[in-house]
Amino acid sequence: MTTPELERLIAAYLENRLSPQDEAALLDQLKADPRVADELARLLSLDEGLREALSPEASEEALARAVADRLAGKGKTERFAALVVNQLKSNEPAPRPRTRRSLRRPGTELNPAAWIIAAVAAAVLLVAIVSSIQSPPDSAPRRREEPQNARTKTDSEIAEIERKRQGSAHVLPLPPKDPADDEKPKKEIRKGPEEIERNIREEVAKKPQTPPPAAPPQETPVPPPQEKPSSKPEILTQVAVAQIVDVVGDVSVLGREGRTPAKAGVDLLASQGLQTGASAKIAILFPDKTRVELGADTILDSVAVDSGKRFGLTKGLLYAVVSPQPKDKPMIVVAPQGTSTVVGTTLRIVVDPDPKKGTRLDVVEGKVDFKDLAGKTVRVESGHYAVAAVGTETILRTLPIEEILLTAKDAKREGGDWRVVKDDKAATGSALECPTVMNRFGQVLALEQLATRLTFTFTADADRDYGVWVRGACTAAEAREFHDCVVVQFPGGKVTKPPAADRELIYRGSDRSPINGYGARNGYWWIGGNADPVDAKGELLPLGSPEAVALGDAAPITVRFSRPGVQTLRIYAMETPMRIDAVWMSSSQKTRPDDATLGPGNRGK
Amino acid sequence: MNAADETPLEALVDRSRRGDLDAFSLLVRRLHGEVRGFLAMLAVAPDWIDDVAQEVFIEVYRSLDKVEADRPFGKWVRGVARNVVRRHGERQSRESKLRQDAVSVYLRRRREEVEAAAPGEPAGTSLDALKHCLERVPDHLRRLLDLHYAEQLTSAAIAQVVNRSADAVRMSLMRTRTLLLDCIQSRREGAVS
Repeated sequence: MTTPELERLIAAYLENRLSPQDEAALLDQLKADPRVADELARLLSLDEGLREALSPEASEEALARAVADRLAGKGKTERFAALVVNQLKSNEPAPRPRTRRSLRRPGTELNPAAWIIAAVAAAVLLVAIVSSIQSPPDSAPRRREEPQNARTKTDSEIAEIERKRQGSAHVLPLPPKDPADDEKPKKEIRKGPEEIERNIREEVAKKPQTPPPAAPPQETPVPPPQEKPSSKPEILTQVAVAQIVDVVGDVSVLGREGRTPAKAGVDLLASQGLQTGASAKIAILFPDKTRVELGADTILDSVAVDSGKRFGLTKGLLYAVVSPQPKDKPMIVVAPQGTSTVVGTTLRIVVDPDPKKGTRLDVVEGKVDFKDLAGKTVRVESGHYAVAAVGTETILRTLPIEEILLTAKDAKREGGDWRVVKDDKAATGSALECPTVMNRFGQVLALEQLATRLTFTFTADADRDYGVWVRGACTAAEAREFHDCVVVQFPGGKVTKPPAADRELIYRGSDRSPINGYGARNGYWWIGGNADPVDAKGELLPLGSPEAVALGDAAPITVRFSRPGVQTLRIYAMETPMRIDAVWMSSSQKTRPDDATLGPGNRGK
Repeated sequence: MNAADETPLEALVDRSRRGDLDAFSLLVRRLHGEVRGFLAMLAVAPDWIDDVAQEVFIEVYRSLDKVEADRPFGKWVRGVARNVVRRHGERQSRESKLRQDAVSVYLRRRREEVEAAAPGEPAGTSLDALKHCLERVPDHLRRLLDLHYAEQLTSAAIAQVVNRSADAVRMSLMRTRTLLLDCIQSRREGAVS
């Protein structure tokens, strides 16, 4: 058995990917020469040291900080020590340490504090349409010189870098590199303990020569060896990792057999990628309900689920609504200029083939760690974005708030009018209901006299017109047109509505508007103002009037805030019984949304 | 330098034996990395190394009165670690904290023989030496290390990122590990001589 073959076996063992045949072969090697076993043990120890030194939580200077933390008594080491000491003081059975590795195991009983420490993102939301990419201005030169695109680096460039580095006296000499070493393993001239080198050569001489394994073609992936079951479940490349749930336009699955058309309802395998054409898009759904969508002209060249979801995004747009992931198995998206580590959030990543425009990460909800090629990591939180590009420092910026979505759980209920009910037809399974059969129209001249209302708080930009849509349902059994209205009020905001709505005393005011007309249909639907029919002049008409040309909310009311930041929305029950399940404020949704749409939304909270 | 490095190991052991938990905390911090590296050599499953290391230190603390004065403390701690690992091996559990393949079992037995034959020999990887040697790894190989250990990508996934075959990535990682081991060994020999 040749040295490269032994190295292959050892490498496979370290990755826990030994086939039964390889395991037997490696065991034979170890028994034949115990010094090989010692070498393997040292490699195991080194592996653990590298995991410790290069942990994801650390920055580029990971090892230096880890060592400094140990010297200063801070960080992971001190926490571990404190855990041990606390356990001894309490004399209780050993709890599981709060480390990333112990959180990896499925079915493990988790310490809630670990989740707090990990700060797992809360809810899963749907988000808005992509905004245009902004190229940040050039900034200070980067600390380290990086290739514009690591994927296109040639062997000659790699060799040049090696030559430069070896010009420095302290650099370790490398084994000579054969340009064809990517094709097949070759005999290496190994520096280092000559005793080990000699032992391995002696081992080679003992074994009968067998033909070397067939060299795989340079660009064709080698089929993985048969995996041996171990205490940690292995993911075979043939296993389905997600299901294709939606395909629009020209979309291909990239696999070993080449390119095949993507079809909804078909599983996506771990070894496959995806490519979308112009005006195409695709959505895939993982078993944990994580949803990943690709926009047009996008190449996702790999999807893996070993130790968490992994995506290789070559170019284009990836949008994801990520269910909370285990802290030790975050979702990772590797793009040419930046790597995003996601625990549970809603995000969008756009990769421009031009390295000067680079990779942009938008985080709508949650937190994502974004690492650029220089190793700088930026934590991007809700409502922010970052761009990693050649010649530009990666910094955090605030996302414009273009979409705001409020649901039943966001409401604070004041007074006795409203309650929360379960409703499987509601957008999130719950709705706000005012069950009282009443009509306050004509009884109340000022909303401020009403002490019972719903209150929402949210964040919005200033000087932006947001169309307001409220999704609700009339639940009256009869005379529905008299029991289908709420009033929205935005203290501090300026509401623009059709003149007809402004004439009614109860609705007069620059900060409020009726949202009326749910009785005209069954079930939940969106209304953006007074949805009673209007004539050609925009004057309101009774239901069923032949002069009606449209509904009065063909264009929604708008609200505009003079100052950015936290805003308030109050909703009053005027004509009920009825239910509300969502409020959508949008700078782009100019027409009535489909009944079933909850709308992409930057929540602005 | 803080108290963790200034106090001699023997003093920390002595104070810990007398119930000084703060001193024991310093002792844990002093030996944390070496114990974990040693457990890795015993083929404890990577996901469980921290758990098992905690068990080891708990047992160390409770057994401090059994430390033999003429025996290097590090070797004694490794003996405790071996016993802890042996007990895990004896447990009939569907979810073992140890790697159960034949190679790992052999490695554990082999480590027992080595420990018995080489008293006082340091085991595992020195993080100080590793830090020094990592700085000298060429950029393109360091990137592979980052992708594998920091990003936790398999060789197949790294191959997709760097546009090489999975086998080539594995060989490069092995080459880098060998370089690091050689470098660490050189520093150790330099420190001893």
